[in-house]
Amino acid sequence: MAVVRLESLTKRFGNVVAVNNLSLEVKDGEFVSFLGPSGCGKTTTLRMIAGVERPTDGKIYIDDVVVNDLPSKDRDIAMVFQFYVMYPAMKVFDQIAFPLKMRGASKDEIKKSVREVATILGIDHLLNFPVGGLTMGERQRIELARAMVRRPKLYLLDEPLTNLDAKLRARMRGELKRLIKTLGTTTIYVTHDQLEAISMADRIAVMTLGSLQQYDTPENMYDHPKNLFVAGFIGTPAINFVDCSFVEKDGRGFLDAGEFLYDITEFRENVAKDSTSPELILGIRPEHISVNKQRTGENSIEAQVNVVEPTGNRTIVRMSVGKHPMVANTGVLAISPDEKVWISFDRTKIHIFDKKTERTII
Amino acid sequence: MSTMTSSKNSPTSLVKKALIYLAVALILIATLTPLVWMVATSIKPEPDILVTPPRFLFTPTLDHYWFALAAPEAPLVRGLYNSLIISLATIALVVPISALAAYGFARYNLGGGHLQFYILTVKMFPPIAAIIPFFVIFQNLNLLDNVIALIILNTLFNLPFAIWLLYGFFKEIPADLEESAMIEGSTRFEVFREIVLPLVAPGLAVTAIFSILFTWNEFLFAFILTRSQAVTLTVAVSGFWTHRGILWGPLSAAATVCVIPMFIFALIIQRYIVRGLTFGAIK
Amino acid sequence: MGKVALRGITKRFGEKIAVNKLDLEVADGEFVCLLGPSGAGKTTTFRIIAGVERPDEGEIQIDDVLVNQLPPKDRDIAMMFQSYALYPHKTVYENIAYPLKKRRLSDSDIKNRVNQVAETLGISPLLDRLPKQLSGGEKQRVAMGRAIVRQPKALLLDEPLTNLDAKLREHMRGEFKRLRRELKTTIILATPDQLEAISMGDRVAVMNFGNLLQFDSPDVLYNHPTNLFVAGFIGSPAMNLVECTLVDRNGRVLLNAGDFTYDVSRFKDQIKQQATSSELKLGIRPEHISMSRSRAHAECYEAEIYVVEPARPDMVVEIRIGKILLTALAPETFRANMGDKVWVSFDREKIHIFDKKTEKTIV
Repeated sequence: MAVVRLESLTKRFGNVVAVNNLSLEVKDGEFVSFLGPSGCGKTTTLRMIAGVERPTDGKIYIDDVVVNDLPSKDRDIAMVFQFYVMYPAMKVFDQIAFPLKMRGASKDEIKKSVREVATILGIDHLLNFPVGGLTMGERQRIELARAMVRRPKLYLLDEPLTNLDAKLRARMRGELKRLIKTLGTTTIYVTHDQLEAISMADRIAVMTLGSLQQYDTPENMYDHPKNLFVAGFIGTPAINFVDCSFVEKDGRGFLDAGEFLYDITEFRENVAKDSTSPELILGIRPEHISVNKQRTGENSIEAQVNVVEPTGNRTIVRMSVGKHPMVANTGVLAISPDEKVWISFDRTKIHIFDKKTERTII
Repeated sequence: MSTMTSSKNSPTSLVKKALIYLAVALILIATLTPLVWMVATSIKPEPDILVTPPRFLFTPTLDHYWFALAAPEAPLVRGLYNSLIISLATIALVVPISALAAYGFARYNLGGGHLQFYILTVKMFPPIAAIIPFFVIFQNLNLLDNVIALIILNTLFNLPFAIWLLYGFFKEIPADLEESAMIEGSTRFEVFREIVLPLVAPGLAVTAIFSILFTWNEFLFAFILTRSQAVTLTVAVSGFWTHRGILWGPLSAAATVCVIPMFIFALIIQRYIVRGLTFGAIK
Repeated sequence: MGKVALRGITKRFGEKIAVNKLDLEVADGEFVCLLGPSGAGKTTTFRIIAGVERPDEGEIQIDDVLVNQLPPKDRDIAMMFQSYALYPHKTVYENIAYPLKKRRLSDSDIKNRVNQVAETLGISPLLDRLPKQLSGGEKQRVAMGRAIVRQPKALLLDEPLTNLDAKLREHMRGEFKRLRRELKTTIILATPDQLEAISMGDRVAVMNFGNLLQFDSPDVLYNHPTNLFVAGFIGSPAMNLVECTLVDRNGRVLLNAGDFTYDVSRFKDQIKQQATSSELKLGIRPEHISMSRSRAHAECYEAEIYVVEPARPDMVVEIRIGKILLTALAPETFRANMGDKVWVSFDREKIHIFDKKTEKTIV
């Protein structure tokens, strides 16, 4: 049972504002991710919730209680870091039992809790082994076990998967998500890897330079980003941005990108209403571009293929439309560099941004 | 990680600081007192020198210096000249030889570590035990009272430390750099000269500095193996132990003259020593 | 002109065999990737080609000339180290110019070439800097510059992208391919990342524990792996590999995985011929598993949704048939909750069957 609420949370280090007026609420049992590039304030925010950093301004509530002045050990939280500090000679059992020992739990209690948690994480067969010889994946689970053993009401994870290799990370994402959802405890997970965030979290708080950009479900973040930053940060390969201007001709609306004109008549009204100027940016995700050898319709655009990267079940095609670079992510495709192709965009997946304010219009 | 540290002005840290300062002060006093005494003695008038309790107020005089410079039993000028020659010649030999040897040990592991250890033990060897054999050798080579003998000996006894020091530096240079240069077209020697040496330059400087310091202060071999031609400054200074008694005044003056060049030298290069020594130690 | 051929190359370090009887032929102008986990022998192979390591057995030929005895500087190979190996006391200009100086080019020639290369790589403004003043990506480009400035017969790149952050790595993959077309040199690139290898290489040599397992185009490696390791290593999410036993039942040949059975009667002959025992592994790639809410046909299995990861643009869904966990890729629009029941089936044309003991592909 833990609802976390941040109210106008601010943290300054000298002249640098690390966290700027952050307000959000994490519901009970929710798995929320703080996502952003390094230096965006996500770790600082996590540390303030944990209690190892004091806010300069604002309040932190855990279950409607202001915890700003409450020391970490009294907040009933567990924190998991990216670097696992473990004494190599210590047995796994002792490693996990440590927090309970610190609290003065009885031997029987400790035994029971440790066994329980180890079983859930599938490491009960390792309990009597020293930590030294174990793999990264096993260590990560021991670290999780140590956090879980006290059954805190809030888990704070700080980029726990960063040190694992790509294959292991991909596997652990699913396992970790399943584990956290099964436990049902409120969890806040900090990461700079957008794939991790959108795969695992119920909601994501995207931050940059200390400010919250959008706080939404992964689906909404991906399909309906509120601004240019969120659209560009989430999704790989990254969304294509094309600078263009809004023109009206013969009663129809177009985006003029220089090399091509894109008909957006059905969005004309919204664009006219919400834009601050005719300078706009067209956004289209690589997987929503279809690549064909022939012209497929009125909105088909000619492009020159530069690089073809087969990725197994898909193909990444890097092209140029005049001087605009474009990246498409299609299924398996037999094309070669220097070919001329025709691309078209999925109209239901177009994004239009106001160039000046960087906010989403469509 | 935690920002909750103890206040900088707590009582325990004040006491700690005071103790540290006290320890440093004691060490400084212990180290500097003899030097200060020596310089003081060199400018004290004769009657004031051996007085007890020691007299701290006196009218300074340069008599001892003039006396020392002119004294025939203690050829200071010749000693200075010889010391310079021997020191410079020694580093001219020690630095290249130790560099090449240390590089060989570092890259090729020659002698599988045993040879290195053997060389290091030379430094552990008490020089005085080797005096008689060396005397006999140099006598047979007709090199007694000749600076060459001293150059050879100083080189010999400085090499182990130099090799050991430079070994550490060479080990720090990643093999990648050298292999890359070789793939790009360098011979092993070109790699050594163009890539490795510039990177161990601080180490070479430290080696040269330590070699000069050891050689300049060397007394035992110089005393035994020289007579009049090849006397070094240290030996010259010892000339003031005469049959008439120890001439403290001129002795102090001569000793001060001996110390001053090294003192100035050390002042100039002291920051290179620190940089050079820590460069190798810290990754 | 840059054909590289390795025949029977073996290298041992004490008890350990780092490279085991390696046969590899890289055609002139080809872009080959050496793919394998760390310890596979990629770097050792490179060092042997470059000449800084001597093989215990085997021959290295460059352009049909035996070069075993040639020192590195005479082989006309350039190598870019994983650590970049930039000379810390030389400026970027001097670092890139070094190989040309060694070839005794004139100062003006050197200047031209260095400037040209710097421009291609976008590092012209950095020429006066020292390596310690550069970022990771910049150092990498300088190391590249030094390797290509000589226009060598072959270029060896040892994990050039490993030390870069994810976004830069993705960007540089495309850059490498673009650069490669301009350079026209033979390139051999070592990497532990299968995505890098299959997206960049003309052909990929998959290695493990010093052995070359398969050397083919990315397409063939992906769709027709010849052994278990290659099948499981290439492709992300990885191919599902299920242990099963071969059984004969009522005239049909089935693979029994415990929690489900799969009819492989159509492969009966191949299996009988090649299997060394009845212990086999069934392989199916995530994108070849389809899921639906209702039972579409007889070869569908009931499964429970274990976890859904909306790793857009893919939808990764882990499903559980009994105790067996499988990973599937669903279309973008797929929505389901943990615990939901679905019916799954495998694409008949995309099944792989492996012999468990020999680890070789049967189908």
